[in-house]
Amino acid sequence: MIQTEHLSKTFRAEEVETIALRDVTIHVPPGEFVAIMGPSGCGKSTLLNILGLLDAPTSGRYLFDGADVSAFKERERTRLRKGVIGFVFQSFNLIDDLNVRENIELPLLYMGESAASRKKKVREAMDRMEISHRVKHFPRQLSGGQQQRVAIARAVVARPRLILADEPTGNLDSRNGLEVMNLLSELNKEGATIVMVTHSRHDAGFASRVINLFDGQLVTETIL
Amino acid sequence: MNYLSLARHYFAITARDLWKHRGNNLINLLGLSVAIACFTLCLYVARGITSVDDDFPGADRSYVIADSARRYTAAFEHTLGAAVARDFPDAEQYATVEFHPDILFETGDNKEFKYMLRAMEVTPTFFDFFSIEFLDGARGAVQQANTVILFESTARKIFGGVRESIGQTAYIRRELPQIMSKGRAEQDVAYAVRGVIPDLAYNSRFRSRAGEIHLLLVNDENGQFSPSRARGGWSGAQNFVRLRPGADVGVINRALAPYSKKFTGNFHFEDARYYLLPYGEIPRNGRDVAYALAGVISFCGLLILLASLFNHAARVITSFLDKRRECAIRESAGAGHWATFFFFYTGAAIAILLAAGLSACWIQLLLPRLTRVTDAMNLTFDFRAILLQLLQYALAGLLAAFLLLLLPVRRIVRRDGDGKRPRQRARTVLLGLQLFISIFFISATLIARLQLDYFSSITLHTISKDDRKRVLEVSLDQSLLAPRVEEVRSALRALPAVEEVIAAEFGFASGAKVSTWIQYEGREFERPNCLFVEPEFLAFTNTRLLEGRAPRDGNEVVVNETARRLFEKEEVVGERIKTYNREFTVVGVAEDVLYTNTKFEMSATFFLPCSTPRYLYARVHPDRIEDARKQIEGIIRAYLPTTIDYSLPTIEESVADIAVMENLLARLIAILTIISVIISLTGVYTSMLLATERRRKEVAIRKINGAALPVIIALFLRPYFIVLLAAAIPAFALCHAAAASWVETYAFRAPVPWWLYPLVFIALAALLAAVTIRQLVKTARANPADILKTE
Repeated sequence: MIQTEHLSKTFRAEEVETIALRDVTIHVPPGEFVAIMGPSGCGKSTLLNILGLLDAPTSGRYLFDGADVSAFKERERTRLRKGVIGFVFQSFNLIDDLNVRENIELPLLYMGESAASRKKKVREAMDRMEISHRVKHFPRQLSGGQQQRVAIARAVVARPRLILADEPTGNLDSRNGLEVMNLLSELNKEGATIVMVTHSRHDAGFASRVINLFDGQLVTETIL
Repeated sequence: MNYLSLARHYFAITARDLWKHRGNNLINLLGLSVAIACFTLCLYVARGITSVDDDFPGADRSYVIADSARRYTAAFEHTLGAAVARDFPDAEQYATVEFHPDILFETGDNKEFKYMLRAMEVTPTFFDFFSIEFLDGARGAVQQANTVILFESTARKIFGGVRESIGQTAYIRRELPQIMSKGRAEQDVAYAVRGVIPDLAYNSRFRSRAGEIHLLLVNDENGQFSPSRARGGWSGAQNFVRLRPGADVGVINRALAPYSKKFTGNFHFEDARYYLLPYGEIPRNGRDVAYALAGVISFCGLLILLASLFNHAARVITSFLDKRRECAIRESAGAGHWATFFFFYTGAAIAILLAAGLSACWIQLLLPRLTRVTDAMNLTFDFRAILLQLLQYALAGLLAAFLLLLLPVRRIVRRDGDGKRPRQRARTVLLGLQLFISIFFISATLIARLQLDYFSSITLHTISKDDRKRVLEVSLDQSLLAPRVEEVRSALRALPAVEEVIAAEFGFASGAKVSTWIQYEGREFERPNCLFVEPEFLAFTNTRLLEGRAPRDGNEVVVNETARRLFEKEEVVGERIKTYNREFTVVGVAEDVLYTNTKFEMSATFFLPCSTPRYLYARVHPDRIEDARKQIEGIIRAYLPTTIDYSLPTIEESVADIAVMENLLARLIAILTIISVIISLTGVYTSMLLATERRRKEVAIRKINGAALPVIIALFLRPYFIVLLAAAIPAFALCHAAAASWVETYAFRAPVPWWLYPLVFIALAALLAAVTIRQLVKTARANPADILKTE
């Protein structure tokens, strides 16, 4: 599903050049659960952003479903992302002004789904994440665990084939963190491909493969 | 704490910040400075309009003698005031005043310095009645014969100073219209300048009636009040009376009423009954309009300033948001609440001071362009006074910014936000209000423009616009020019650029409406409009003759269609009419042409022979208009010294002058429209800047979830369009109602097309989108990953 070939990313400021990724080649087949690990600043999130089509590589190729998307313009990346990729973030990234239902239905809205279809899919996602009783609540009225559930519900509501999670348990206590990881495992078992960035060895244990990055380079790959 | 170092540090940071965001800051400063300039000028104008000149002692007991139709000038005898003072024991004092619009004032050893001035002939009691202060000269001198009292600015202009004026000799000649002077030529009479008094207030009742007045004539042996002047009782004097404290006005009015029989001249209004009209109620020309205008100007100025200040506050808040992290770091480094406050306040204060400075530049730039406004309102701008006013507003602005910024800073410092984006109702309402004003003004400008264009198209409609621009109106209605009509006419005809010249007795293109007594079969026509013109007039103005022919000699006249109806006959050609001293035969009927303001119905017009030409109309070659103007001015200047102002308008300019108030109003509205649109768009821009800054994270999340660029742009623009729509509906309704009631006062009304309002809405929506699109595209194109990383 995902394949990168000699992927590099360099950030340029006025007088400073920072190499975030160098020559990264990975392959993630459909249905795999991959964890990316490494110390802070090693390029994990940068890689995830490129995989999620939020950013473009400086060089190298990125093949998504066999198509080279590395040179895609923003409009094409947005179109491809819709309904195919779901994101889960450490800081949940819910919109403060939207309630739980509105936050979850956001991807469906941009996919142009009908109101009835949206309602049905949002209901299913909320039921699954056990947050139906919070439908009218706003993010600030929810606990961290509940907010992450809403974020996961939003990430899966369009039934994406790829879920990208950036330290999804980083802001949660161990109990809520475990629940989130169980949810991601379930989604993976149902067929979703998951790429997760984490610092936690415990969380990485839920993946089938762990990729280790250091200074922007892939150093080891461990199959669990 | 070393406050000086801290202030220097903040100043440096602010200067750097101003430069870093120079684009946004420039827009913000321009908006704020325009608003401050507008507010300053608005208040200055409004204060000028509304200040009154009735604060002399006893003003509350002062009256003017008026007739039952509230007239108090036409056909009042100058002896009436003195008679009332004599006959009524309760009358404490009187004063009588009469205007002389154009006098020739000659001074110098050989009368080499000539000026056309406006004078007021007054009784010696005038000075005590109105408690006039003398800057120089003896108060008692007003009892002497042929005394001139100069106003200060005139004294300085002519004699170079107040003291220098005293004792100077001047020769004064007046040209009275023939009908009043009964053919007597005015002789030069020597006058002595015996006093100088302060200038009249700009909006003084005397000034509002007669324009700028330069001098007072007292005990004028050749004047209207002189017993030696046999005037048949006719006069246009204003008679003021002051009653003793406690006097019963009702009793006096009952006794005064029949004085109209004794003291009315031989002209008309014999049935009028006299009464005392309180001084404070004396109508000033366009007083109601002036007050309304002052109110509207102040209100608009205030709204514009408030809107702009809020816009500025929004910009400052945006910069707060930019600096939250910096603020936290400063706090951790030991900055307390006030230190943080002044960190932000320095920026706001510097912006206000810069804006005030820019405002002074705007005002300096604008003042020369406001002369039409100032002339029409008798206002003179004192730049130093305006600067002082500006300084006061800048200080008030600093105080307001201090108070306005306290709250947001406290919130930022305390971080007491609940995480939810504030609803900003006040800001939305204010934005709506700004857009409301803009929409109202844009619509009003267009409607006023339509009405003026319509007015221009139907006034003198027989002469095309291009033709009007090449017909010059040469006024000879001045003492030095009147005897030279034929010389000037011959000189004009000899100019190669001049194609044709005709003469008229009154300026027909200036809206002059002259009535004379016209009788037909023993009955009098009511106030017909009389144009005293030469036989070529109809051909010159392309006026079609519907019946008959053009006049061939001085005994023949043409009437227009409306005048024909007065005869109550189908066939009027060949009918005989009489004026007060002559008989004429009607030889033709011409089409109706409007010569006056569209406020008036089409007048019954009689084209009478021109016996005393005072105006020449020269049609010049279209490519040589300016040449011709210079050459004609050269001819005029041979008779008229340069100290006397002279203008040579085209008919097009004269027609525009007929609607001078309308043009002035349209101009003012247009200026306010531009300002309000600039402020509104600045408001929209800063508001959008704030919104995009606040919603960066939301945009990133929406993008991650599939929102494309147009969706993001629409997300931000939608609320603004809703506010625009909400503002447009009442603005259109109000404008339509205001325009309807304004247009109602005109006999000829331009219809307001239905598409005007949608057009205004679309235009403003497009402008709104245009000023925000760059910011929106920038926001929508930002990399969501970067934003989520930094937020």
